[in-house]
Amino acid sequence: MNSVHGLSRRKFLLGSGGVMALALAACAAPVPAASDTSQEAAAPAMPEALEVDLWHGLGGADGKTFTELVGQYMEENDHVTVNEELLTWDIFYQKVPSSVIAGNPPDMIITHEWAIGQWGPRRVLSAADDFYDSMGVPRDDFIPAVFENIHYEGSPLGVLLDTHGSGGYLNVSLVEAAGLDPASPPTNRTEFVEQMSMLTLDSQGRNPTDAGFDPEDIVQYAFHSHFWRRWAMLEAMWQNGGNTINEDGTQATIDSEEVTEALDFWHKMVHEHHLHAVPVGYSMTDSYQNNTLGLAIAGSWWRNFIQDSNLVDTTTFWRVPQYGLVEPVAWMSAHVMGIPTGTDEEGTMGASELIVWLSNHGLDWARSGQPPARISLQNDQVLQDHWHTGNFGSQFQAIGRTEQQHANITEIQNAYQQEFEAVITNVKTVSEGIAEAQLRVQEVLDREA
Amino acid sequence: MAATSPEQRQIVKPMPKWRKLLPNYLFLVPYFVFFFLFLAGPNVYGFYISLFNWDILLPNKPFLGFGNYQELWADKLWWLSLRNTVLFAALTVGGNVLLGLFASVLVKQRPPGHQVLRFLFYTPVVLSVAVMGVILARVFNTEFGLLNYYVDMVGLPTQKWLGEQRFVIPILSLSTVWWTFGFPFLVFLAGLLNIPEPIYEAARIDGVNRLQSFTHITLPLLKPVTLFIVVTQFIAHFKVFGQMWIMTLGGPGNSSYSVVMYLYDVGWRFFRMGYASSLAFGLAAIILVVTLINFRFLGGRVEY
Repeated sequence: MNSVHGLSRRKFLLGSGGVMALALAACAAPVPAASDTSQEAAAPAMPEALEVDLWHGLGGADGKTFTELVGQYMEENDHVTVNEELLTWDIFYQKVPSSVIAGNPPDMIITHEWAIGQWGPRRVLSAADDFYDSMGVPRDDFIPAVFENIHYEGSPLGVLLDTHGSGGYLNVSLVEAAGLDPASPPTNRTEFVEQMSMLTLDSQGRNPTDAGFDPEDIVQYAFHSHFWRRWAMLEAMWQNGGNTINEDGTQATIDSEEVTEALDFWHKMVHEHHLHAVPVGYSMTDSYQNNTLGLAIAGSWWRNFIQDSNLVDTTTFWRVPQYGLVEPVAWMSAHVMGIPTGTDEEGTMGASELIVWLSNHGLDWARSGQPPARISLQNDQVLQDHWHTGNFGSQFQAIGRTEQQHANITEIQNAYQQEFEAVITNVKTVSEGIAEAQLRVQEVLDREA
Repeated sequence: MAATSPEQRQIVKPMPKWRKLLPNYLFLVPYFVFFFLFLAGPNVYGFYISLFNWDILLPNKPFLGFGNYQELWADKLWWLSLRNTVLFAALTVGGNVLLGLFASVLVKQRPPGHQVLRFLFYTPVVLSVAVMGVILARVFNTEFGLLNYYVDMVGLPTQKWLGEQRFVIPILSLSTVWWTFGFPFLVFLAGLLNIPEPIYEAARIDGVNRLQSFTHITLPLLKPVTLFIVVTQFIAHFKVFGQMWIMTLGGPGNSSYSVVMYLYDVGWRFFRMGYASSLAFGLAAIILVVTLINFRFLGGRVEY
C-alpha cells in the first residue's frame, strides 16, 4: 500500500508563513544606493514648477473666500500649483499627526493657535523663524498675546493668517420690535439680562418676566452662543477673573468661586431666565435665518453666511456680552500657517512662497470676515469702516483673550466641556459638574507631570 | 491511441494526497495574507501597545504592564459610556428583531403591494450613517423638527427630544432601528421561506390556530436565524459611533457618549493610543461575553 503524505496543518502554516515573509520583504523600502547620499548633499536647485499640498479645515462660511484666494495666488504665480485638501477639523487633527509619523506630511497646513501647545512637544511643525528673519514677515505687527501663543521653545511654529473669535450678530428688527435700541448694547450683566428678557417670547407674545409666561412654549429666544460648549463658558469665567487651569498648567482651577459662579449663571440663563435654549437639538443657524433668535454669538467667519442668507440689512454687530462680573472679555484665536516636520525641500519652498503671499494678502482674506492677523492691516480704514470685520478686529484688540496653551489642551477642553454640558442640560447639578470637571482636568495635568 | 495493458496500468503511481490538496490550501493563502496583515497582526500589535503609555507622537513610550487596564477599571467615563452603549445596543437589537420579524411575517403573507413593502423596508439600509444622522437630527430638532410640528399639531406639548437625558438613547435607538431593520427583515424572510409548508399544513389539520402555529412552529424553527441576527446585530451596535457623533455629539452631558466615541477621542484627539487600545480590548471582551450568552440561550440544533 502506498503511503499517503497529506499536507499537515503545521506544514501549511509554515509554508504560508514563508510566503508572508517573502511578501513582507518585497514590501520593505529599498535600501538607498550609495549614490543617493551624494544627491542629498547637493544644494537643491529651484525647480521651474512647484506643487504645494495644502491641508486645512476652512470648510465654514469662510472657506469659499479661501479657495478664491488660492485661485488668485495661482493666477499670479503660474509656476505654482496648490492642491488644496479640505478636511473637517476633526479629521484634520487626526490626519496631520498620522501623516507626520508616516513620513508623508503635506507641504503646508493651516491649524489653530490654541493647538500649537500640543503640536510643539510632539514635533508636528517645523520652526518658522526664517519667515520673520529673512522673508519679511514683521514680528511686531501681530496682537502680542496671539503671537506669543504660537511659540514653542522660543521659536514661532508658523505665520498667523488672521485673528478670529466670537462676536454678536444682532437681529435689528427683532430688537427694535422689543423696544430696544440696537445702538445701545448692554454694558454689564444686569443690563444684559434686562434687555435680553425683553427678547425671549412665548407663543402668546409674553416675556419671561411677564405673568403667565410659558417656558415650555418659547417661540423666540433672546440669544444663543454657537460656542456654548467651550468658548462661551471660558468667556464667562474669564469675565469673572477665573480660568480652567493655573498659569503653569499644574493645577486645575475649575472649582474656584469665579468659575462656579460663571457656570451657575449660564445655567440660570437657560433654565431660570429662559434667555438661551437648551442647546442640544437646537439649531442656532436655522433660528437666526428664520427670525426667531435675537442675538447670535458666532464666529467672525460667519460674514459670508450672513451675506449669502441676505441678512446683512437686518444684522448689526455687538461685542460679546458681559456675562461675568469683573471685566469684558471676548475669546479670540487665529489660524496659523505652518510647514509640517518632514516636508521635503521642494514642498517647503512652495509652501513658504504661499505663506508669505497669504500673510501679505490679509485684506483679501478679510473678505471672509476674518480680521487680518497683522495689526497694520486690521487698522486699514476700509476695513475699520466695515460693519462686521472692522468691529471684530477692534473688539479683539480691545478685549480679546486667547486660551491657555497646554500639551494636552484637547483632552482638557473635552473634560470640562462634557461636564459643563451636563450641567447646562440638567443632567448634573452645578456643584456636581464643577467637582467632576475639576477632577478630570486635574487627572490630565497630573498625568502630564 | 494504443490500448494500455493491465501491467502498464499498475506502474502508474497515484498522485500523492498532499499534491491533490495543495491547490485548495493555495487558494486560502491570499485570504490568510490579508487576515494576518490587516486583522490578526494589528490585533496583536494593538494588544502590545495597550501595555504602554503610547502617545503616537512622543518618542518616549513608557511600559505600563497592565496599567492601562487598571485605569480602565477605575475610569468613570468608561463605565458611563459602556452603560450608554449597552442600553443602546439592547434597545436597538430588540427593536430590530421585533420589527424585522413582524415585517417579514407580514410580507410572507403576500398582502397586496408586498413587493413595494419589501422595497420600502429595505431602502433605509442603503443610506450612509451621515445621511441618516442629518435627516433624523432635523426630524428631532427642537425648534423646527418634523416630529415637534406634528406633536404641536395634535395639541401635545413639544419636547427637546435630543436635549433631554431620558429621551436621547431611545431616540437614537429608534432612529437606528428605522435605518437598519431592513437587514434582519430580509434574513428573517429568507428563514421563513425555508420552513417547509407541510409542517404548517399538518398542524392546521391537527387544529392548531395561527398564533399557536407562530409560537410553536415558526419561532422555534427560526432559532438559528434569530441567533445569527442577534449575534451580528449586537456586535454591530456595540460599535455605535456615527449616529451619536452626528446627532448629539454624545450629549446631553455624556448621556449618549458611546464606548467607540470615547475610544476615538482618547486615541485620535488625545493621542493616547495605548489607553485607546485597552478600551478596544475591553469592548471586545464585553462583546465576546454577550455573544457567548446569546449562544447559550439561542444556540442549539434545530431539525425539520
